[in-house]
Amino acid sequence: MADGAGTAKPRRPRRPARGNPLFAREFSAPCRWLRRLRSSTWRRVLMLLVVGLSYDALVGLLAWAMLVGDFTPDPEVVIVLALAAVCLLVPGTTAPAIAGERQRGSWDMLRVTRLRTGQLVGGKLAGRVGYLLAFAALALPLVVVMVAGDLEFKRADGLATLLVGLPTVFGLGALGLYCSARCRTVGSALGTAYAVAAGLVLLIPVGEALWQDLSQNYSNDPSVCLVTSPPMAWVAVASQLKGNHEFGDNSWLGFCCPAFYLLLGIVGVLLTRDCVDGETGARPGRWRPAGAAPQPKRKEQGDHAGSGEPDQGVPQRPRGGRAEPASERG
Amino acid sequence: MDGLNLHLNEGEIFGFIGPNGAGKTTTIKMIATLLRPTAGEIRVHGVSVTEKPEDVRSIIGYMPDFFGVYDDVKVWEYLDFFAAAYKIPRAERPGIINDVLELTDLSSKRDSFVEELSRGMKQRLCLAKTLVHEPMLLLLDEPASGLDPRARIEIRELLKELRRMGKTIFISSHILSELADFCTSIGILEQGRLIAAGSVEEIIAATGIHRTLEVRATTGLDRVEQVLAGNPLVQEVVFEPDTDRFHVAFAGELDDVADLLKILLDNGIRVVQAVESASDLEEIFLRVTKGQVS
Repeated sequence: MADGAGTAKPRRPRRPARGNPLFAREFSAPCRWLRRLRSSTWRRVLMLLVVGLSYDALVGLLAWAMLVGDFTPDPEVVIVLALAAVCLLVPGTTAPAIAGERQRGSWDMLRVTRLRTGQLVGGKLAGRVGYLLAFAALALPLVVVMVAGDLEFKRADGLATLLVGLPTVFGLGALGLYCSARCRTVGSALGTAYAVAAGLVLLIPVGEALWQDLSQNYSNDPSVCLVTSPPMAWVAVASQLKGNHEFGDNSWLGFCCPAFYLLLGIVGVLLTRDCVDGETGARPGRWRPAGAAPQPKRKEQGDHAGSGEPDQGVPQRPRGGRAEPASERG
Repeated sequence: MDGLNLHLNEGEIFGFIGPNGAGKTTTIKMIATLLRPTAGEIRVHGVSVTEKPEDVRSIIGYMPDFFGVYDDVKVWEYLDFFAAAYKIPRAERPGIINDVLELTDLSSKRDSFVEELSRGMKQRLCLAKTLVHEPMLLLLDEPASGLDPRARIEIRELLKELRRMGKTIFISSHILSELADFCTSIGILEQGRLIAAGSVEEIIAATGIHRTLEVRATTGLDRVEQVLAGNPLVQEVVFEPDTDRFHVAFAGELDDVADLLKILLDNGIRVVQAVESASDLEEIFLRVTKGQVS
């Protein structure tokens, strides 16, 4: 193909640019909806103002409820709910990443750029999870209001939140991305990601509780679900840090949850990378270099199948766009 | 694919034709490093597609048959994104984007959102994206499919411009007449096998498909059959009733056509017009392929 290294025009020397444009694109994707509003600038500003004021009103309402209305939410409940929300949001954020590109027909065009597979996967994951974290940062005013009110955050709670929350985001994000790489459509990727995530976060705790109920053995503390379910793991970790030992001797299992999700994340990223690489077809192990003995054909198709000669006696011409004689074949 | 063996020279426009399922897209995807062949070797500008796919990607431009664009960005942002993906330094990108927009006649749409573009414009935008990193080899898979005649003409003109720029182009298309118009050579694929390759002229000669000359003469029409009777290259002479035209089915090359006309003139047949209605690509295609799909 277009051979002839000696005759090539010299290409303009160029120092390759750094950075991952895919990360920037994914990270900024949620903000672009505003630009798509075909409206004038002042209308956009007005819309931003309305959204901002609505958010402020929500914060103000909460502050009023806490300071005046004697509303004091339990911080542990708030954090557990926040972790449950994270488990709900993350797979939905990353699952459409690759399947969406494939469905749109832009995935192949990305794959032929100079972005490496690692950059593609990393950009997708970091961009998607990144904007989720940025979105979470928007909740800071709420936290400030809660702390300024009567809510007491203990250092152990914060530490447990970071310890469980960050690996959970990474692990579930990578899981969603892997589902995205495996599935052809966004719908199937979302369905698969949520099915697996629900199994880990919800079904295992429910199954364990049912098992205890069925076996009429209420003396055992939960075990497996402390590893797979981040909200429960958070309770275990926080209680362990505070010395409460909420789940008795099994409370230490909560520390296995971050390790489990970290491992899930690493495996997810590696599998996603492998899957994207695998889209090129044969695995290296199946690769047969030119000149090696051909694999036997399963089925002969027609008189000319496997003969290696052109059909109908049409000669292959030795000119531009030519087919080469068999003796020249690489 | 089975035993596909091709060589393209630099600056060549190679048209790849074949029935649906023949393996055109598979071949293009293998060259574009998107599919790994189970056997054999592909080299682009001396670089192995299987061993150094990343190096190959920097010298090829791939335009798939089915593609989607990011609707939520502006035209220049779309090109900027792909320029960044091809690691083009930020400082060079604006100039390159302007160049490719001008080439694809999209300069006026620079600040428009991609979703506002027509299908033909999106096709040209995709081609512009394919050109941002100045590829040496363009792989275009059905670039004019699904376009209206006007958009098809625009794409064809654009491809001619790329040909003038010296790009090597590997193009597959179902619109055979357009391929014949600007391809320097063609390859006919069926059931994953290349059954004919070369210039249209060469394939015509190889397949035995005759060319047809439409000749108009003012005098000596009654002697035409007698004059041409001894010529081994003339297969058939058909007269149009009540006109001064006749058709010669002719198996020779272009030089032989000149000789044939000279013979006519030397024998007092005053030829005023001779037009070759050569067997076109469609006829070659129908003749060469068996209509089988693997």
